[in-house]
Amino acid sequence: MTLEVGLLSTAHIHADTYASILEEHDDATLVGVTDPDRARGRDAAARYGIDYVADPETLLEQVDAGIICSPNTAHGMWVDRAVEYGVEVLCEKPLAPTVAEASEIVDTWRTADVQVGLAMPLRCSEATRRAEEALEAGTIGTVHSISGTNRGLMPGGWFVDPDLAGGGAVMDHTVHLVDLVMALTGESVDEVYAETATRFHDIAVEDVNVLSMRLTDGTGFLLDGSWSKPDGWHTWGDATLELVGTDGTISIDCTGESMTYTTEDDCSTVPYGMDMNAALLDDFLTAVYTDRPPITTPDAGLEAVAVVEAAYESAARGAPAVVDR
Amino acid sequence: MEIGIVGTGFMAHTHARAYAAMDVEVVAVASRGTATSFLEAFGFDAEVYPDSETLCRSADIDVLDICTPTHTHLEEVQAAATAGIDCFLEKPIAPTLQDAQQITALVESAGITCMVGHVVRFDDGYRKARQLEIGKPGVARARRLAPFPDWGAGEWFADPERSGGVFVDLAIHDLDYLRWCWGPVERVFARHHRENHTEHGFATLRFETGAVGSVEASWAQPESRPFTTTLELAGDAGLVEHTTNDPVGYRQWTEQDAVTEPALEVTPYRRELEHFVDCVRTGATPAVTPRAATASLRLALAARLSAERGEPVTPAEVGT
Repeated sequence: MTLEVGLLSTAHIHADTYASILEEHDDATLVGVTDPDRARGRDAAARYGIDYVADPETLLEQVDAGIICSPNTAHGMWVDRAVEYGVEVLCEKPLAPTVAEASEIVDTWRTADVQVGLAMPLRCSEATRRAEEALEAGTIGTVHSISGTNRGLMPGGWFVDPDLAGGGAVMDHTVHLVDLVMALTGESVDEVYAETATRFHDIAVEDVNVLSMRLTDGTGFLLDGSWSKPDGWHTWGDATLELVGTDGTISIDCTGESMTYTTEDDCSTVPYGMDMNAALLDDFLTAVYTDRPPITTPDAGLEAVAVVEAAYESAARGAPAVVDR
Repeated sequence: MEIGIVGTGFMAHTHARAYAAMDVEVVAVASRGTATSFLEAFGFDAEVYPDSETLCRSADIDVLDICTPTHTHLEEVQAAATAGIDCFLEKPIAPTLQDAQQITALVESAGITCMVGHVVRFDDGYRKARQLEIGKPGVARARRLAPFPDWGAGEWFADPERSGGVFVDLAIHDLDYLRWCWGPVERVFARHHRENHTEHGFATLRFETGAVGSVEASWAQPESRPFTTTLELAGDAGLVEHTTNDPVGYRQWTEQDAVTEPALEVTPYRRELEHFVDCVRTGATPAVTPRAATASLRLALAARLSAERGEPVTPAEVGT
């Protein structure tokens, strides 16, 4: 049996990523694209060589699974629809721009008959798996300090539109590393101090995102998730994490396996390590086939959104903010 | 130019190596011991005195180089100032704001030339990074990660009263450097972990211009990890990235060990000491005065205070 998959909106740049992975996939086929933005949806469908389906309900009736690549503020609407049609669904991050909206998604998921997954590819990296193993084995003793980065280029488009994204770099580049730290340590973030600003671009949202967090066990966690990379940078961004323990330090670079590639007028980085997005999609499809939860579920997504909300509160007040759940 | 060195520990050795390559003479050493192995290591024909006060009174020197633990800096500067001798003072200037202010007052009223050894300002890579055009400053990130410094006599590094702790002794390198690059800091927020010997801390900085920075300093790394530094200066028109993982010019492997070192003609320590000696010769003001070093100490103290309070702290809040 081959799973039939539909793309629910193509606003997110990862729509292309998922489409190209599915093109090669043995157990799943991308059968259709729907998008409230007709021109965008038609263009995407043409790129993938599949049908554009104007009426989302027609597509939802047809497919077994869906991938939500909409702007952040529409995630809840798409999850609701998918669940209503019994469609298993993988949702782009963050789960939602606010705790209130993210909580509604969690409530929907808890009573749904389908699996709902969140796109947290860092959890699927080989570097993460090794860190998990080493932490489990107690290799570095008790972790007391963590430092991470998740920088990137300023993505533009709806990502910098507060009505569609719900925020800027804090909204976009906090949840990956927060989720990873929670997954690796088993702790949650209980306090956030945020320094945010708009320094790099003439945009309506923040592009500086420097967070100083404290985990529930007292561990300090520093994160730079700014959109601070110039357009001429050699790659899209980074995802690194360093955990310092009583007996050692673990440092992971989720895109560490990459080489330098130079052409006449450009120098770039080409990854050769495992494809995290393919692993993420594989996990989701396996979850659907075997009816088990995907690696990252909406409850974890809500935790990360609560940290984002606390970061904005801290930035507004100029004081550390407690994370409310 | 005749130099007297106070102390025979790690920093004294580091400075001695630089002096050995410079056009200066080390003629006097103050040490509680005999200093024999120190003198032999560098072939110095120097007189040994029991303390800096006796040294300054008895020896004919142009410069006193203070390489003793941080909590002794005030009394060492006192000896130099009383004798009217110019002095080089290892960083940090002092463990407390009060000591730093007294040092500044002593230096200024004695009219001596004094420089504090913020050596990162003399590091070729960090100097070049500061010169590169990046447009309007946005986010700075500086890290300095090391094992616990076990070379300190009587483990003075482990005692916050004597060393000031990881913010005052280690993070101050980057705090001073970033302040030099991006100007005054409005507020500092820090977190900190201390356990047995080890200390690890990080601080976020808000500069008066609105730019943001973070500084991380560790004395909690295992011995197997090479000393690691990272610097990033991101602006709206450019980004500088410089780390100890950058390619270096000289590497060597033998059955015994591996050597990886920058192929630089002049070490940062020699560059800073040459600058100071030049200032003493010409009467110019050195690059890092006690006042400048005190401004950087304020940031380190603000980080320590913030970590205690759990609130952001302004540099003014650490004292007047």
